[in-house]
Amino acid sequence: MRFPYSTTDPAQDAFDSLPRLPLRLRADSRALDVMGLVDSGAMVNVLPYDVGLQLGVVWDERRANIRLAGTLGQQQAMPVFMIAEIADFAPVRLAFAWVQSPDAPLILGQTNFFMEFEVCFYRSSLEFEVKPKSSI
Amino acid sequence: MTLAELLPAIRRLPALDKLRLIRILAEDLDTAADIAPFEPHKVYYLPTPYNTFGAGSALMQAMQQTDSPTD
Repeated sequence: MRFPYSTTDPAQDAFDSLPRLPLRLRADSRALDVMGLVDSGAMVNVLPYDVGLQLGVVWDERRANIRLAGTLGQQQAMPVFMIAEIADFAPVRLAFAWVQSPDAPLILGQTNFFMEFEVCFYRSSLEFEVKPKSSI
Repeated sequence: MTLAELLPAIRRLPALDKLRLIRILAEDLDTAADIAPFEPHKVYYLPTPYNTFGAGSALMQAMQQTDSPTD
């Protein structure tokens, strides 16, 4: 299924358009509709702090046992697991590095979004395609 | 390093340090439980320059200016 590149602010133009994917995250009995940036350069999925809170996750310093490095700075992250519903695909379990940084976008990275879905980018036509991985 | 290599050094630790080591390892096991596909204490990189809106437009303008004839 193809999705359009999108912006997050009317002041942005086509050059600022990025592959953002609408998805619904579920944790326990809570659900939240979010937009995730499909980022093939990110090693992991990243969950912003406020999204985790809205889904009822409680920060536990002892469980913040993975580390992120790069353009968001060095920071500890807590592994959390969500059920993600995308379009009419079967729900999948995604692993997120939950961070306390207020600036972090919701990122869909190599582990494990790209392990669950095949993705093709068609930047010149401002579209990208996502489909569940082949069941070989 | 293997456990066999570590064990002699561990056995030479004072009793208090042995107890500390047991506690540290137990906590590690507790917090490391079931976080696959992540690995505990591993560093994961996010190299993308996020939120750099306007940079793409500025870059394209710069390229067009470079391409234009300059008498």
